[in-house]
Amino acid sequence: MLVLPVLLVMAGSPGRAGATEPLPVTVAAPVVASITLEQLLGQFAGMSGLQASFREEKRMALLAAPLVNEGTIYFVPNGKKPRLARHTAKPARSVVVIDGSALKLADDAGREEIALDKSPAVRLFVDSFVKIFAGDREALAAMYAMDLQAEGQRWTLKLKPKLAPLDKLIERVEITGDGVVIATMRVVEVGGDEAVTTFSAVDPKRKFTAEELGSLFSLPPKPAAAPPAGR
Amino acid sequence: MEPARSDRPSAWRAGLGAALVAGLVAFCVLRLQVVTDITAFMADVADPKLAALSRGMASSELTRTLVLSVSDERGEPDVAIAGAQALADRLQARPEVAWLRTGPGELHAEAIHNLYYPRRFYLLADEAAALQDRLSDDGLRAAARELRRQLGLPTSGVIKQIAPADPLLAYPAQLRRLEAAQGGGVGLRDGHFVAEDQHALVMLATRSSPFDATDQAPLQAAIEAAFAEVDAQAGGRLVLEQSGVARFALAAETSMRADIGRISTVSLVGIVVLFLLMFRSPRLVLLSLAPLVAGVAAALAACLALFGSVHGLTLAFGATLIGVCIDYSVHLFNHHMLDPAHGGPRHSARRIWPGLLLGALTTVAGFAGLAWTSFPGLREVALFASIGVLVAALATRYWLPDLLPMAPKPGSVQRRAAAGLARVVAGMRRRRSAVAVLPALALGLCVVGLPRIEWSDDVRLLTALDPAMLAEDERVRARVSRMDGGRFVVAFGADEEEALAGNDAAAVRLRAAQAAGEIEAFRSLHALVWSAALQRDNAAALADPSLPARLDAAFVAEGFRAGSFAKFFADMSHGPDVMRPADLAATPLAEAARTFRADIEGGEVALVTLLRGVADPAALQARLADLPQVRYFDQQGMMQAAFGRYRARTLELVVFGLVAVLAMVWLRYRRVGLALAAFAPAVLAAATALSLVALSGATIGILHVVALLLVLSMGVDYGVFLAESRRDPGGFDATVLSVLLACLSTVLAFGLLAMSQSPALQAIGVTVGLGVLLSLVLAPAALVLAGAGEGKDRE
Repeated sequence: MLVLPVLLVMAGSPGRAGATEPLPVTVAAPVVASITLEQLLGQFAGMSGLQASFREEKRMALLAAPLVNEGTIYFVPNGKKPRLARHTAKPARSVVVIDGSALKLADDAGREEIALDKSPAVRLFVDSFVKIFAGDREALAAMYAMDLQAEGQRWTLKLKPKLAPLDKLIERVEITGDGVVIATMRVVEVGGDEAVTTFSAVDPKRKFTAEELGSLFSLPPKPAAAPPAGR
Repeated sequence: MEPARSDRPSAWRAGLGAALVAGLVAFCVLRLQVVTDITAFMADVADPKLAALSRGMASSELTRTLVLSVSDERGEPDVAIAGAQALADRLQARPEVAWLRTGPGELHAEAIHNLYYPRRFYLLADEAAALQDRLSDDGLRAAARELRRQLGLPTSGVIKQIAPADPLLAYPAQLRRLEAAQGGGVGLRDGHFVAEDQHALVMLATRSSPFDATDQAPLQAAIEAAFAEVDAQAGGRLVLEQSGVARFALAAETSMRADIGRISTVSLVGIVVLFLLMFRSPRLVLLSLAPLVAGVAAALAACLALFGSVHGLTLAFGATLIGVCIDYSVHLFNHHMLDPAHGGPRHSARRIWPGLLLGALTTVAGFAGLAWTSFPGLREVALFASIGVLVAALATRYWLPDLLPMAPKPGSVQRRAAAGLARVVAGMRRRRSAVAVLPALALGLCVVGLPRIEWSDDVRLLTALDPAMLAEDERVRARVSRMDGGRFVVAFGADEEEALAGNDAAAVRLRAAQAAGEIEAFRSLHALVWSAALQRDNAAALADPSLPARLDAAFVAEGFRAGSFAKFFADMSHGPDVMRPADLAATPLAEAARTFRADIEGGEVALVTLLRGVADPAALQARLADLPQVRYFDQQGMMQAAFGRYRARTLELVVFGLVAVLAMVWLRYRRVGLALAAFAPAVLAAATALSLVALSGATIGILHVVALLLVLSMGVDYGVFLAESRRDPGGFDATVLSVLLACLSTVLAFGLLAMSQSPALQAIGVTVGLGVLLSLVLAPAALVLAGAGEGKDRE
């Protein structure tokens, strides 16, 4: 489990001081019956499920070339307990499942489970995406100052973190889409690093069978015993 | 004929005796110091270090910790948290409480960061080979790949914060170790410890040992009272569960105390009524206690003088001396009243003295065996019993006669009982073949019963743990830590550093054992702090001048920008000194660290590693075999083995004691038949009692064997008393009555223990009660069969 590590890495992370003023929730004036934040989140809340291919490109000061991940994401509202699964196919296979209580991760290196209750920092990192798909306006408003700019059904949502420690790490998140079809997500960090995710083959009406719910939203079976801890 | 002047009761001798006894009593009162530390009665184990540890752990932080688990009937965690907090607020200031926590505290994360992050250079690897591997070119490439992998994950934002200053990820690895050491069971909600099943937890440690009832009883009462208040405020929807050694110790003590109180009251009343019925004189009933008072006072004074204090259990066991010592005065009374010697009580005492002395010596021989055992507590019991019995016998011979009237009239019950018994004995003499059935029957029972004896050395059978309380304790423990109780690996050291070095080595082996499936998991101080030597080894390896260039090359080869990790080497040059356990003191980890440590006699330090799911103890022990300072410690198995050894040793001592007793009896009578008649009934009675217990389906343990000693001691007394009177028809009848009274008083004193709730007291009660009753029947039968008390014996 990675609860304490993450929590404690956060505790010692730089840029602890100087909280930025939260941005007010503003909605750009509609030109031609543009979609409002209420409507957008309402549409997300009404989804039966979602599947999309993704291509994530992470640009970091540490790395000479961007890190590129490709795969598929799945989302299911699951009543009040929305679940998101991210299956990465390239460059290496990995599965990340996020539900209301935990982030579970499996890749070649092993498995980890982070209880989100114990790790508010990780929750902030991973939860916002789930909250958007779930159309959870209340939760989003608590975490971010939101600014929606829309033209008809096409929209750009800018999120500015309000809560520490996320506000010390993330400068802003920009998401674009057309109706409930999400197109891109750009996360800009305080230090200048950024991650841009492009979505394609988006199916916002995806219905999952019970079998799929079991297989897609859980980690693959353990290949072998986890490596001993402590090194 | 007038008694000789010296045989008359003398006031000055009576006074001198009383003054001596009063002096002893005064000494006892002034010096009395009763200790209740149960560890004195823990069996010493073969390994003296582990034995010392076992005593050290009995009062360690681990055993002093209590966990209170508060839940809401409707499952709302916030209600449970509020209840736990209110409970904690009420208990916080109690004098018995050393510390109390409802959550990890505000500064947890920052304090841990400040402690470990600047020292990450000391914490790279805990094995020389692993350290070398990690800093090799291949190892550095692997580290670069790992960092890259982590940067690709959705949680990369977190790891990126420290990567430039910690490319080898030593700090996150340390945090993982810390988390594993937390046990994983406890979660957090709004800063409070909350278990997975939504129970809010309060953890506290007491200042005193969990076995110290004087501190634990008021605390337990305070917990109950505080919870009642908190629950009432919450509308009666809260449930409190607890875990802690103290509760069991307290419950056991309370139950045993209640048992002993009830039983000793009943037996005292019974004995007083019996004696009043027989002797018809309150004065004689009181006087029958005089040798007992002298014996107990002398024994207590000896213990206080030799050991400086006396154990509560020794006193309790000493009380059982009543059963033995009171026999002496009863024997004197019966002789003096039913078959008065012309010389008065002193002469009566002189007549029965050889029997008394032999009886006392055989009893001392039996108890002295206990002195060879390795329980410090039982050695004290042996001394107490030996001195008590000898002084009681001497008091019966030299003091009690001076307190008795010259010629007291026997009571009618006493006379009729003696006459009745005489008729029974006469009847037995007429029907010897029928009498022979009795020992034959007993032998038959032994033949059937003895092979069915099932030995059990499980210590837990000695204490009646309330199953509901046990289940509650296990539930609460599972919420906090999933480690097994009673199985540890221990690293010893003359000082902290030496113990830490052993602990480091043990952790490496345990990790291998875990990978091999020999254990499921372990929790060690190693997760919190390493030995200074190991930390310096890490720093020395990182100081390799070629490392910065090699590291940069390895990371560049894996796609990182050159020069990204300069901060790592810059920080290293001005980091703090290695971490010591004392550095934990100011952090919330201090309490966790203390639970791993037990201080033992001689200033040695023992560091305890907790284990879970030990699947293969032998393989685990083999893994640790070449680490001289490290031992595997299975408290229950060790205690079981120790109790087993002790039981076997006690049985041996019983056999040696029997040979010694037989030799004493033979030396006295010089006739094999008579010696056997005095001696064999006790042995047969003890064996039959054991057979009956075995046939009832109960297992036989150490306490049954200790009880056998008592049966043999008293049974041989009966045989000897009867054999001594064989030439004296009047005396023989008085002796038979003495034996009957002695038996009844013993059954009243011990047999009632059979009704106790405590399996320990029950085992003693059943064995002694049965054995003594059987002795009562078998001793006269043996004398009759041996032809004693008639014909040639009556000269």
